[in-house]
Amino acid sequence: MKFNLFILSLLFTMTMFTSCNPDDADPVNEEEVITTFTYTLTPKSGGSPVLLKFSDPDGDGGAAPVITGGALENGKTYTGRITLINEVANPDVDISAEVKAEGTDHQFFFAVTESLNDAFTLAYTDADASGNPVGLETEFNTVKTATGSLRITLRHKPNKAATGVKNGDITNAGGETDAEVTFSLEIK
Amino acid sequence: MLHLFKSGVLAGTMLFSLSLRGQDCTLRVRGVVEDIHHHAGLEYATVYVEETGQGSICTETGEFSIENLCKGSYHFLVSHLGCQSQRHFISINRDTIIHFHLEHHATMLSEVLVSENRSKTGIGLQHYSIGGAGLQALAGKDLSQIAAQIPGVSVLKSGVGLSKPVINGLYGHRIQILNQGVPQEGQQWGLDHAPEIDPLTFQKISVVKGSAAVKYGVNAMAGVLILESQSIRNDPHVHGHVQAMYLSNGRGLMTNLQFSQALPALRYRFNGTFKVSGDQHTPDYYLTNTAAGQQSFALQLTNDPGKKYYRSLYLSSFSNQTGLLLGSHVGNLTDLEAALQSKEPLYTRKEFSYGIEAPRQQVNHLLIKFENRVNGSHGKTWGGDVAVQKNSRKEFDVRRGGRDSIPSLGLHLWNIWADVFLTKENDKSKFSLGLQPRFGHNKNEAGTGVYPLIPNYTQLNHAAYASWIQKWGNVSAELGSRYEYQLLKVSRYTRDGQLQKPEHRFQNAALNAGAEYQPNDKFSVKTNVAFIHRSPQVHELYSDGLHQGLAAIEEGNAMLGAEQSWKVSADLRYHLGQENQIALSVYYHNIDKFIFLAPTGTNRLTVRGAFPVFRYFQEGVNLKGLDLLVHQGIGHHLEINVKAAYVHGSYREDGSGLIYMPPFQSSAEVSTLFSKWWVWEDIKLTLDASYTAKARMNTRPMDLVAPPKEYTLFGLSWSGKQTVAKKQFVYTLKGENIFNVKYRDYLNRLRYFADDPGRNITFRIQFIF
Repeated sequence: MKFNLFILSLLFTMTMFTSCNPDDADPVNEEEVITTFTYTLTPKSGGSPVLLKFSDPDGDGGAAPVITGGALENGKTYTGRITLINEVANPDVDISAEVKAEGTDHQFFFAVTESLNDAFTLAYTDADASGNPVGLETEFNTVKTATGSLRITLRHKPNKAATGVKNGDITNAGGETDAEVTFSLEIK
Repeated sequence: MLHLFKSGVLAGTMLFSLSLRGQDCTLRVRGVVEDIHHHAGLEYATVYVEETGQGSICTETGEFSIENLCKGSYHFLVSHLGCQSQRHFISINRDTIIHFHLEHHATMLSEVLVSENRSKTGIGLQHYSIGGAGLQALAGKDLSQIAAQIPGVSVLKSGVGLSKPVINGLYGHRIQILNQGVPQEGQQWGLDHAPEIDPLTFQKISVVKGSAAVKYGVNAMAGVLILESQSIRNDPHVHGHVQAMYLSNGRGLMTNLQFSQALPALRYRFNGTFKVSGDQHTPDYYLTNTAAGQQSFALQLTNDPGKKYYRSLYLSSFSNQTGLLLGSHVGNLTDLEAALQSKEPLYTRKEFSYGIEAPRQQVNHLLIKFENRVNGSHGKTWGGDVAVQKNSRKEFDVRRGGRDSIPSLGLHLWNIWADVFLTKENDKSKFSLGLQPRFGHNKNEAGTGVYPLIPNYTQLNHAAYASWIQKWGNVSAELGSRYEYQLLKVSRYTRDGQLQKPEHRFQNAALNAGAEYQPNDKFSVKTNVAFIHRSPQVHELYSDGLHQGLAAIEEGNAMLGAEQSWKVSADLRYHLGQENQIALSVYYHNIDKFIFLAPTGTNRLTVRGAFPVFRYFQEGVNLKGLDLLVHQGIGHHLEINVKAAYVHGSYREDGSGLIYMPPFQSSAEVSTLFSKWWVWEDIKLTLDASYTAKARMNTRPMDLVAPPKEYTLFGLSWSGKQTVAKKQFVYTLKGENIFNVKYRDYLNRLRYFADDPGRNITFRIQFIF
């Protein structure tokens, strides 16, 4: 008899499950996504800045990102500055500030297609706590006219001590890629 | 290690009282020690009375005699070379005859015959298990590695301790793991999600291939892994063991304590394991961040007042923390290419460490089970089991902004399962009928800051099943059927921020028919046909996210229908003599609408570069294969085991191969036994070799790199017992991959980045009390 009661209460408990619903999903606040990657090149001699921009306001997936290239003038010096914004999070997060704060764990690398070889020189003008470059701030000198593409890569935890890394050579950097965007670039 | 026996018959004793004229300290105990299978007396078996130190060595026919015992209760320790020793607590009030039955092959693989309806699992064909000393000798291995001792079972690895069992080429949601009779409910969808189980808790680990879905659900398409505890012996004293182990590769330490006791009101058994290990080492370098830790305990309480009722309460808790190889974590395709081309994994450090950093996993699993049996008249048994499981999984990635300590994925899964059944059995037949309600609730931890891979959901799964086994002379037959109703309710945000609440209703079924013909003691043949209709799981419908290890985006497909599987298998056994046998299984498995992940051919551009998009598709596939086992037992000077397994899986449409199919594997093991040398007894020396062939290159999807080449590994082990002050110590010294061979295994997902671990020497000491 005791056992039958047990079975009955068991079946009763089971019927209660039929009315169960899942917990509503929590809205996702994606904190680390970079939705806007801007490389702002301001001429040192004055004039309006050139913006190279990658914009994917809804984050990974959804609508495809929009990438805007730019044109620079030959024989000029530009101050380069990278800003990274996360617009998916609410409120917006300034990812470049996080990169700056964790400077020793980050570095930007710049690479070009063949046609842009020797068309400009680029130098890191910032440094992390250990005196190694980060790449949020750069100086960009155009030396000849050319058209091609510029690829900027942000590596998380690169080995800055490896050969060539401090000079901007990605070959031995290792690390995990946090951002990799390619802009069309014209020097005229 | 391998042998076939009728399990379910636990080695036991029979007592006959002879005479009533016994007086104090003149009592005589005599009897026979027999092999449980062949009922042949075991020469040189020993019977030892622990309290008095008296003992007897058995004659040629297995007879023993111990004289001048006083009236009282004694522990009888029964041992024989190659058998697991037994301890029985018996009251001696008069001259007594005792028949001891030793499990000559407790260390070996075994079989449950269809006619053996006392089997605890009650299911038929193709049943292999590992128990006793054989299981003890595998201490320190994880569950999948232990199961892989059985032919046809392989291991899919993603790191240290992160391994999943593969049965006849299938894994994950196509096999069922039964933890104390309860379907294990974790996040089984992940290829790097290992079963949350401590194998040291169990006394027997079995694999049933095919035909088990009727009782255990449609997920048991490829087979069931059954983990069981032995019933607790009726002994009023505390008995058990404590063991410690050192593993050279990873400098691992493991301790384990197990004890049981029968109190007047209840019997209990406790098991606790603590394990820690550091970075593993390949022949050339450390596998940085492959340290792991595990803590687990289990407590079983049983109560059987009289023969009519049986109740049992089982509690277990399992936690582990595992580091993932740093070099296997990539940010995009460029990183992946660099990782694939690197000679040694990126981020490899020169120094050893016990530290676990991101990427890492942290898992907790809790199981509470209540078991209730009422034995009625006419062979009727009523049963009611309820189990509650809670699984929490947190995965931590390398993140920015100090977020390494915030999980990228946090899942909390609750499960309630019950089984209410009636069985009716006699010598010739067994009939079972049951209802199995199940309820699951999965919730994502909020605040991870990452889009969840698996949505929040609840899942109802109510099932009814019936099975029937009948025996006529040398022919047996089995029939079974199961029906399942499934209701899945999902709550998720789409990528563009819309809250969606889709619902799915499915009806699943499983049917099984089997027959066995055993014309004589030497030969038996069994055939089985199983049909299963399995609905898609939530990850196949709704997973969405980036797979960090392979730089691919994985998408579920809400339009998927159910898989339909037909499996035909035949099992042949031939006993050349008492100790020699051959077992061969062949099977053909056809699955319509097989669900698999494949590239869509499109790439998705993100701020980290372009990623290939993978989605779940359905297509007809078939698998065919064979498993072979050849065994020569002791009784000869050498014990020899040879195993081989082959499976071929392909898409029906174009015959191209399925990915992650185990390549051909074979192994051989030769052991010699010595009864005594210096201070040790029951010494066993084993040499083993295992060969794994090169897998076929995959074209759908194209594998990232060509399959690794074939390899052969050698192992050597020694074990012996020592008796000190009437207590037993067991020592094991074992070397795996003793020639430090550099190799990569096709089923190890780290093969893209690193070699497999090199030589490992383990030393174990066990104290039995």
